[in-house]
Amino acid sequence: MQNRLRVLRESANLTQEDIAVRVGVSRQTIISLEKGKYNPSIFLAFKLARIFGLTIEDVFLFTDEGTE
Amino acid sequence: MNINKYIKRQIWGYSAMLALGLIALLCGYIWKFQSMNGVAIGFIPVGLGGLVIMFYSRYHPQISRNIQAEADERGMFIRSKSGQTAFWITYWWVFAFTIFAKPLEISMDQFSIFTLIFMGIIYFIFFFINLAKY
Repeated sequence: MQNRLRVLRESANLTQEDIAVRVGVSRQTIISLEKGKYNPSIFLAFKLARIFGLTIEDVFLFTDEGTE
Repeated sequence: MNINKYIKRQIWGYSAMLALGLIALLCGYIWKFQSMNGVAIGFIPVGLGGLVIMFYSRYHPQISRNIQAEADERGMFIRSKSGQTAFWITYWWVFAFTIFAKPLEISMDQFSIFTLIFMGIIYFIFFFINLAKY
């Protein structure tokens, strides 16, 4: 699943550590999310979207790829 | 996640492991029940090591933060995936043992110790693979 996390984070002038502390995960998890290597749980996706005042669909771009 | 609650729960878990290991060691020593030594070897270092880390983290916020980070959802996912893989590989290992135990003359206590070490090694191999993958 693709996402706009890096773009949104950089435009909000936040570091990966800032985001990690706010949502209660490791910085490594944020790195992994930005690279698209790891797909978050629905709870984490909500928390991340809430930081930027957006909806989940605005942050995460759902594609059918990799769902099977 | 409340880190203090998590650490408290971990301390209980590691204490139980240490207690089980010591009971197994005692059983092995008193009743010469040798296969218990394998259980003791598996439980005592893990229980003791875990307890030291958890108590140390109470006075060192950075370690506490690292524990919290390791227990996040990606960490849990990686651990659970590695554990599942280690379980199935060990399952086939036990299956192979039942076939080759007699011709190779492997005793039950030797097998217990090998299996505990083997499962740990497999788990950590897949842990690092998954850490790079996800």
